[in-house]
Amino acid sequence: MTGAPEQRNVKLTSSEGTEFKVERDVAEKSVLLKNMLEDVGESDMAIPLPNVTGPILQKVIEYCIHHRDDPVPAHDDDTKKTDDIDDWDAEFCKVDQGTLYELILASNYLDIKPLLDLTCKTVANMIKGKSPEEIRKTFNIANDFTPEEEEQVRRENEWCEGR
Amino acid sequence: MPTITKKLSNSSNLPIECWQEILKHVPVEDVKTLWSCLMVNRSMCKIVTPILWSNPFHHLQKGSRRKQPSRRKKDEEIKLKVDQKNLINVYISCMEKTSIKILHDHEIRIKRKSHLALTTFDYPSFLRELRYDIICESSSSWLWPEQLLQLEGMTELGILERIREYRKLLLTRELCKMFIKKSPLITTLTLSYYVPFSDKSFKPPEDYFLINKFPGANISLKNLKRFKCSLLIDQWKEISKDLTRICGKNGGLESLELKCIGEPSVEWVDDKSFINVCELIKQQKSLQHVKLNCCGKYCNMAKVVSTLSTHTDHIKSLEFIHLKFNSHSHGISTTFTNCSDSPLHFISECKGLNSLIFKDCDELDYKVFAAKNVPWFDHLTKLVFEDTSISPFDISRIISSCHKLHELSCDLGEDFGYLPEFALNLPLSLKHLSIDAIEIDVEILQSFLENIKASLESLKFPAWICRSFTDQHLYIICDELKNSLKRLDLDLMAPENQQHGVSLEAIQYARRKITSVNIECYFSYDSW
Repeated sequence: MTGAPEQRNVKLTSSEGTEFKVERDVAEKSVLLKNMLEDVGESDMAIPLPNVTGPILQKVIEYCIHHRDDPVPAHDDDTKKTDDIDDWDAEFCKVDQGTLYELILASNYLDIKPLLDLTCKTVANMIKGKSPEEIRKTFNIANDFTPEEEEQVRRENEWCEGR
Repeated sequence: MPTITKKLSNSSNLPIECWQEILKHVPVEDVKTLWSCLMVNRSMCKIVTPILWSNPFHHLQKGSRRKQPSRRKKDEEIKLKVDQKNLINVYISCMEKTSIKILHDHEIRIKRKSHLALTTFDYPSFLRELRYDIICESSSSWLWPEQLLQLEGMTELGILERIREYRKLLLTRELCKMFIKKSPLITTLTLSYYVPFSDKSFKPPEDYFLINKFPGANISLKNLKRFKCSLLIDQWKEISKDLTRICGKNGGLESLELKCIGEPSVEWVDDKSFINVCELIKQQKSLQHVKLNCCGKYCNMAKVVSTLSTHTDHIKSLEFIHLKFNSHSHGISTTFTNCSDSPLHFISECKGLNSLIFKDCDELDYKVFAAKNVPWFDHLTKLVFEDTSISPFDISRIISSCHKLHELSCDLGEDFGYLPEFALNLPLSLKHLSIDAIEIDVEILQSFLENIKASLESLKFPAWICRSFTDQHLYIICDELKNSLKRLDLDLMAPENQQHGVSLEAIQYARRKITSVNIECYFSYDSW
């Protein structure tokens, strides 16, 4: 008895030229790759991913392998919650801030919505309850308001300050 | 418009579209975090402003604020009014001159502060939820108190209140005009307003309530997803006609809640409006939630039920309040009344129904629910039969087929002796149960609880049934359900239930056994 029919591997090349071999169903978690593979058909050519570095591509593949059997997410899911991250995903996101940013960029580029949601939720959780100054410090964001602009925005939004 | 909207630039390591994605995950209710994001830098401000201003009035309702233990109730009320005034001030800064003139002409004084002369953004364009009742509440606060001090000399009873009411409606009308003109997409519209004067001499401003008539309504309301209204007979005519036209062909309404109000002896929805409402329902693509509330027995609204048969593929939740279901068989004759022998027949064809609620409904026909293996049994998680004409025996037969039922509320009336047998038919999936009856003795309670096989997480005895409760009742509940029950609600504090015999000691005993024991579950009047 044999199991499922053997899948062809797909070759991916990171920005530094490192080649990764993944099974097609894993690669197809990315909508970008799925569309490319459908357009190109059978090919041994490696797909270049100039926007993704090797270590990040390795992490993305790790995520896609773990979630390879998950159902396709609904498109119009309005109910975005930040408290429904499971243990494996939470552990997966325990990385430095730079890596987390690169994972967001990679999942956005590769169009892997569940990974984009997970990484964005993780950042959103880091923002929760913080003051403007704490958010700037945490994410190294410069305050580019002029004092007059800042005062005007504050005044116009006074109705929700402290609520 | 100042330069901020043009100069916005990203100063963090992530591109703006990623921050947009991240900030979608901050819940709209978390105003504190959203406010902080707003003040971080220009990019964040530009992303968060549309979120925060999509329904700002929602955050300024009574009870919407996080509890501040140190602050007194009076201070909370003043803080709310001040916040509402601040919000309206910003909106007034965005108002057109014609509206400002109308307000001036009615002696509503507007101090155009120079710093608010030009706002950072065109805030009204971000509004997505237009709720007339809560905008009225904020308008009222804006007028309080200095706009009314000038009226103090008028001591004639009622005059002050009438002027106050008139000005509130006028300001609300001009605000709504602005929202309808400037917002390209209103997704939620709630219309309700009760004239607070019983006599007819109060004349509100012209078209004060007719949002649908304002310029721009054709665009802003075209993609409405949720519509909720509570209307008098003369309001139905104009509103139902326009909304049917605007949200007509291939309409995207997902939720529709209609309530009619009026005098007991007269018709509440005229025939023409009834036909408009039927058309509105029929023209929607994917109506999922419907609530009809007649507040009376004989009403055209009950006949609207028949048109829901066009939505059996999409409907997930149905709620009927104060309906008499045979009223479709008399009254006017239209093409909408001949679809079947029972207006509720369509329920058996609903493929994904998960919530079904009947409150104070007459002439419910059990045959509608009797068929076995119909789709709706498979998905139903919530079922409510409160004060209906369907018997407890029939309810019992219905729930025995609902294998995924999570929540059940019903009223056994005088058939309290049937409770032990009733318990035998409760599905194993049940987690939340609310039971009422005219009384219950300890033996019946004991048998009833013993026969429940489901692991109940919450149990509620509302209203009447609590009158017969004694300490013994509480001890039995604790002993029988202490392993699964997390919450127990008893309506012991209501003035009409004071004949109960439950002591403070027994309540304290229950609180040691069950995580949450609430003795103040007042009868929740459904104002919608």
